[in-house]
Amino acid sequence: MILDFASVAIGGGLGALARFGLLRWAEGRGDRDGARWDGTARGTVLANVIGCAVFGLWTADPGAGAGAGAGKLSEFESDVGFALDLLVLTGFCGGLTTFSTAVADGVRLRAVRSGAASLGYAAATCAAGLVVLWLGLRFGA
Amino acid sequence: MLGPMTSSPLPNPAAHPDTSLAILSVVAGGAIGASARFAVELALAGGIASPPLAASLSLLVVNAAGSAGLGWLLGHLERRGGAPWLRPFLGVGVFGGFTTFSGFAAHLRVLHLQAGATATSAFFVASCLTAVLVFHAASGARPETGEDA
Repeated sequence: MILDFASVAIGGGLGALARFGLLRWAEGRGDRDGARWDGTARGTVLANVIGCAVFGLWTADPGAGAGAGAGKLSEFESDVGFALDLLVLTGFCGGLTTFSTAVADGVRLRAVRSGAASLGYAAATCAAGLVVLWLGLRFGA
Repeated sequence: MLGPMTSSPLPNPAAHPDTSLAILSVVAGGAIGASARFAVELALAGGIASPPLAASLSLLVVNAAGSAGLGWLLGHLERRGGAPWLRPFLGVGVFGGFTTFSGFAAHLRVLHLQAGATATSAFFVASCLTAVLVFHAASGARPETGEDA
């Protein structure tokens, strides 16, 4: 149990740090005139998409296509394998990706850009996240 | 632990003199947030017999609660300001690390395989609507008409 929580905490800290780096990088590039999203929103999308890709690659079931079952999540071979899964999936991917910031971005974009930009941001985040998750499951297999 | 990340792309360090404090805040907050999410997952998995239902509820609760927390924080910072580490620690770290989009996306796929399109759509809409509504309410913003996600 302690090993489990330690794995999640280490992965979560690293994931949040990686997201922070992406955010600062995207914000540092500034807002181009007429851009649909601001730098903050682009940083969040980047973090969420990368996190979904890593999740897909890590949970891909070797020898099976992306359509088969729920991946290897239910087939832990050892305590160490389980802890590693917790570190990468629950910790790192969970810490790298964020739902709350995406909501904040969507609400902010509606105010500073438009309702269409906000809806487009939400739709693009969900579509891109699901597509790269599926790609990860496919090419990780 | 921080070694490899010092080469991460931070284009203009001079613009962020508080970078090392912010990095510590983000890492500590992310560790706390992710652990809290794990604790909620374990608690609900222990109390609810159906794994898809337990996972759905846990994601819904976690993402809504984290969105409410971030809404409260952003509203508070806008009205009263706060210490420079508050947003990196609570906003990026704790609430950002507590909520998850990769787990949400992966669960949409699993739910679709196990429970069908109707349950998946209901979970998707409920997650997005709840999170946006509680974010708004917690931020203290005046309610607007024609609200959408």
